[in-house]
Amino acid sequence: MSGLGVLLKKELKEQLRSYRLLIVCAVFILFGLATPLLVKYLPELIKVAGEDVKIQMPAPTAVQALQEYADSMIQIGVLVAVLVTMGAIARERELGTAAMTLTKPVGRGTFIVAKLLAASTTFAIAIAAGAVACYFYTIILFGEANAAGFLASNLLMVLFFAVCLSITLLCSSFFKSQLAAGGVALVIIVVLALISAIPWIGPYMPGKLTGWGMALVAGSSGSAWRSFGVSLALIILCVVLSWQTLQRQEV
Amino acid sequence: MEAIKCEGLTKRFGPITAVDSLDMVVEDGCVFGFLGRNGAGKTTTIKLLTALSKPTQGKAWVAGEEVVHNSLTLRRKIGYLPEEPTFYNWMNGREYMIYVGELFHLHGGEIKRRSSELLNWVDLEEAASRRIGGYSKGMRQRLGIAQALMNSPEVLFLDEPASGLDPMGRRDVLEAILRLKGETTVFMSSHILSDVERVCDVVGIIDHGRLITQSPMEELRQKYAHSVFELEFEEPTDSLLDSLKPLSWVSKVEEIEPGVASLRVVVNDLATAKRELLERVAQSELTLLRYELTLPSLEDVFIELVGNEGNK
Repeated sequence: MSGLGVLLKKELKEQLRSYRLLIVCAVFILFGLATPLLVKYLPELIKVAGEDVKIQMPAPTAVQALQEYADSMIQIGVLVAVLVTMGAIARERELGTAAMTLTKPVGRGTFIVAKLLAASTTFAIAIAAGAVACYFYTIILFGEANAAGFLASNLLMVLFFAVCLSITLLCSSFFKSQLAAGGVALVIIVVLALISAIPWIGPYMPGKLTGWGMALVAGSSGSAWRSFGVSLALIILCVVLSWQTLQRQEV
Repeated sequence: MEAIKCEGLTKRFGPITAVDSLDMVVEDGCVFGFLGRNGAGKTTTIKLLTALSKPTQGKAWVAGEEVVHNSLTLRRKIGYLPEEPTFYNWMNGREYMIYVGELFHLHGGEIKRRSSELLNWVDLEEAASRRIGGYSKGMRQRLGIAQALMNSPEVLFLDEPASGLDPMGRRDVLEAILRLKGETTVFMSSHILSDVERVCDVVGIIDHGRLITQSPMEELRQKYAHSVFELEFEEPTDSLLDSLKPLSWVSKVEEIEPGVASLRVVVNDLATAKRELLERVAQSELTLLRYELTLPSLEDVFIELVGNEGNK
């Protein structure tokens, strides 16, 4: 992993200067602020909208607000993850900047690991920022909330997004076009989500991490360690496959 | 000592042979011009020699290292400038040099010193804190040369370093290459004959992936080129041009510059030409302003070896 520090520093600077970090953070913070507000006032809004229709809704809770936020972020976040990472390798190869770097003494594996670490760091920072915004707004609107459970659920979210990012990076190393890379990555992530619904294989899929996170926020028991292990293995597999793909390519 | 050596180096892309059994030796310290028309196999050869591409057959050695695909050891010893160098546009010139220095594991002080030295050397010191995105093509090319020299490479590969530049940019890049003479081995590919003629000591000519010839510049001129006469007149030269064309001792006759009354006569029998050319001029009754027997140019050699299409 010769040169990992240098490449990681460059990648992190790029995340900052290309406004990727800012954009991803803005999306998470926006949802972090909007979701508790929406959950709190949705019954009121429905009441106002449907004047004559009587809909009985349970009083919204802090748990509901935090769970709703996590749920929204998984869906929106996947799209953001694919969009900001699909060009990571494909675009560098297309522009020729990859060749400029790869004629220096750095391995192609290092090149990929640095990209994954930087993108994961961006998402970790954005998740933290969104979580802080969501948690404090929830406290303001609802009172007390389960901080430990919410923290754990956000850590699981980081792992889930790392899986999405590594899949997108693999596609970016495979395809010359970033659009093709993004499209195929999205399809793979959706297929994995659909497989999560199959009872015998579902518990092993990364999608179960989100369910585990929801349970932690609600303070209920239950874990998804098999899904946790498979997620880690998937990240490693994607990195190895990306490395092998790039190794065979002529930049 | 040999800086570059190839033995039967071959690269095929499906049915197309881009580099065909290349046997070549480049001596240490020279500026080697790798000449060929577009698509002759120059870039592919450079990619093979810089370990960016895997050969289909054959072997190569650069700076004493056997070239193995993706070899990190080799990369420490070479510098590379692609045909169109691309940079991270959000960086500034100095940041990019520091980034390259760090990739070569140079120490902080050395990186700082070498960055300033090289940026100054390629005349980019003033623009060093500006974003690369705002650099002109010539500035990018010079930054490309500077970054390729960061590790004081034993062999520097330059792929078409002056192509697509305006005359000033071209002059600056060629001067930078000239200043490298004796300091490092330069392997420079080009399809611009005048550039190679200006800076290179030794020339290799490649066509359809095959090395046609390799020789020091002067030797090449002596060996392959015919003698050339340049004539300048006061009146239009059309009639003389037509009368010279069919002569057996004339290989080629053309206007030096269209619209200017001057002719370039390439001959294959110098003795006969010396005797008969002036006689023909006298018969034409044109007013002769200049009559000169010139040294054959690399262009003449190139055309002789590759054919008339080589110039395109």
